[in-house]
Amino acid sequence: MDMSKYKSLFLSDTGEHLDDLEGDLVQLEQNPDDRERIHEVFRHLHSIKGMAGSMGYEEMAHLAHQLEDLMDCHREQGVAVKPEEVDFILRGLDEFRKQLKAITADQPLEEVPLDLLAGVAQLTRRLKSVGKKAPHPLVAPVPSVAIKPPESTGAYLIQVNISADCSVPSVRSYLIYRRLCELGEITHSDPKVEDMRAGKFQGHSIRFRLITDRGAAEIRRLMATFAELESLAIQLDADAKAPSLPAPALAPKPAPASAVAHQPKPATATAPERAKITSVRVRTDLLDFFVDSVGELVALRSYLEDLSERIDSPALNEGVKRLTKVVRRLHDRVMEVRMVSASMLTQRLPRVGRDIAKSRGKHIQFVIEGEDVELDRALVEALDTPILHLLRNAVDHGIESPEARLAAGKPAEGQIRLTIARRQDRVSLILSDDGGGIDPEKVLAKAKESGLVPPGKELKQTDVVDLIFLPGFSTGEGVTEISGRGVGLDAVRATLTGLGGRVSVKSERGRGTSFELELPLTLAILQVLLVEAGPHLLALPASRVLRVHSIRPEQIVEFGGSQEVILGGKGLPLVGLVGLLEGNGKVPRHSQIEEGVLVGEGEVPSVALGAQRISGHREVVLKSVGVLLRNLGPFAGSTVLGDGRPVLILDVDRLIQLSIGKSSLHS
Amino acid sequence: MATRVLIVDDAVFMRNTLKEIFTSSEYEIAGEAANGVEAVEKYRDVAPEVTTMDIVMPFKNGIEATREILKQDSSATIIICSALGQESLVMEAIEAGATDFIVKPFKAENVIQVVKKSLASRR
Repeated sequence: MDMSKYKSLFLSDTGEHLDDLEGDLVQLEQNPDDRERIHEVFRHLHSIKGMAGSMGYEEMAHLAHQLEDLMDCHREQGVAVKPEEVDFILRGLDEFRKQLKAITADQPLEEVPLDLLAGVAQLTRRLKSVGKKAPHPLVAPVPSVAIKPPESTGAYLIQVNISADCSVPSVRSYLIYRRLCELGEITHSDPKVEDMRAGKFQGHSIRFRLITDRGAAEIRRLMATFAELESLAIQLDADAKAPSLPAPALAPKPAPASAVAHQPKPATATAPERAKITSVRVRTDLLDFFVDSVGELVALRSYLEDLSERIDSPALNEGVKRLTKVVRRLHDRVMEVRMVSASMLTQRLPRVGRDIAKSRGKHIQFVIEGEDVELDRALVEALDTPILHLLRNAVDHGIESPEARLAAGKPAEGQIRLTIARRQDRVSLILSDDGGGIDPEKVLAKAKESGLVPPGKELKQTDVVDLIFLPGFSTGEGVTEISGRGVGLDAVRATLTGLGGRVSVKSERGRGTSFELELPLTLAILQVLLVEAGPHLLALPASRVLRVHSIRPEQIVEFGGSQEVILGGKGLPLVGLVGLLEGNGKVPRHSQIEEGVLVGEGEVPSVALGAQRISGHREVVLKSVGVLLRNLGPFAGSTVLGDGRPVLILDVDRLIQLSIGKSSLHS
Repeated sequence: MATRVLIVDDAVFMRNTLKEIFTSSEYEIAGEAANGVEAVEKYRDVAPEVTTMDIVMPFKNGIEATREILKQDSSATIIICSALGQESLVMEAIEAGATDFIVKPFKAENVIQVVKKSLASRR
């Protein structure tokens, strides 16, 4: 049989098993005698073995078999798992990942390292012989990394529609009720449990309110194990303490099934259950294509709107208005389709934290909160590196050695916490540690040494800590010793800016550091101001533009090698956009600066950008720029206007930071 | 690897009907039992992955047998075979810990679906 057509399914399924396996292993290390978890690990290995075997990937199946054997011993004997065993299985997991990579690239599989196979076999043998002698569970030493599940408890409204051909809906609903009870507490149910139990319920729609510390994904997983379900809707219930269920407002997924269910059934016994199809798999590249196309539509709509304003035809205006509505709706829905749980982002982190802590002889407790928050898949992918980076920094440099912590009167075990929270249409990720914090003096000294701050210049303490995000800051050696911060943080910042977000840091000596990444939930539509600078057209995020001011040549003064514009008796750093694109950032005296765009944060402008003309206001979808372009200048991204012209979008934060380094803030 | 099934029913006809349904290569009949007492013993001997359990049987009924099997193996997957009009008995079996249920007359695709989904819920 030709198995190649199953390859992509094999890759995605195995990948999912590996991700789950990794999470289970790290949890298992925390609770080495958790029988359920041991069984889970066994189950994943068993599935991987089966799938790899049937695909003919012998190397993979063999390794999975060896590891499965080891876990089988634990399962049978009820013996706690030892840290070295977790290490071996994690090594095996890394091998599996390598193998998947090779399979993806159609390359032959490498041989599994012999010491890995031999080590696993030895552990298994030892366990088998011990199992014969001592039936009592062994006690494993407590590992160094403790992972706590999120403690937050939430209320969910769950609406289930039982399929029309279920002959005993009361029994079906009672079974669902009983199983949901295993996840938490059901505070309300419609129909009442007594009516289900008494067999009085004959309807097909049930609603529950469940208070649980598990996520929606887990509820979904449980519900997937029931037959005879037509649709399911799960929704976080803000009003958990309400005395009754709300009106059935939460829309269950429209079940195209119901229409199909009434059709005569095909005669063959093995006919597929058509009524159960409520979702389909879609290739992610196809989704990305939709998103890109919607981005183009957004730009095109904005262009047409601009045209219609100039042409002033009622019919055109009406058309544009209707187009606007459709594009908005489409944009919202397309973005929704790409939403995935933040756990896709956080899944790997406990393992990474564990590995670094172990290698550095540190003890950490890593807590993740808010894994249920849904994010755009593109964001999850883009945030992967920055979050890993921040976590690495936190473990490696933020958290002190156990000895140093004890000496400072702190518990030996450091706390690292990742909190993901949704705030309307934005999401915030806060990674905090209770380590030694950032030393501003060292940061300042380093910045001066690297020429990022002119000698003798005074900066506020908060400004000093922000220097760690400057591009030049990370290059020097020894930077990592400044409490470790500054390692490639400019890259983290650039990524965030490229996503329309921002990163900020708070740190207190001796108390710890906290990084906040804040960004739009999806790739957002950005309002931009288009400005002309010489032959160039540039875009500025409208939210960061405070005012636009006409500038006369006599208002421009030279100040210590850079320029300032005098506005209302005060000097403001001036960055000429032509100069920025073509050379030194200076505005030559003879150049035609006519407009100054004042940008900054809050109410106070930090920098004036010199331009020739303001040419309009548009809606665009931000596209992140690659590393190459990022190195060319302070650009947040690029976009293509509706008329096809490409435009660079300026990174206002970086412009401000550059000007802090190059000229004085207050004169 | 084939899923191993234990079929418990006092009626030979019903056992054969179920056997017929599990003929595909995905399943293997690990054993049969004609009453609750036999079911508990057979379960111990053959350790099946799935057990289909009739309710009304001589010596020991399916609910009792379900309870005892789960005492032996809390992860056992037991699917109750019931008939229309036996709702309250199925409720009792669910309270005893049964994984799911099917209603006579059996439709092959329903039985297979319930078995597959139940196995997915096994932890």
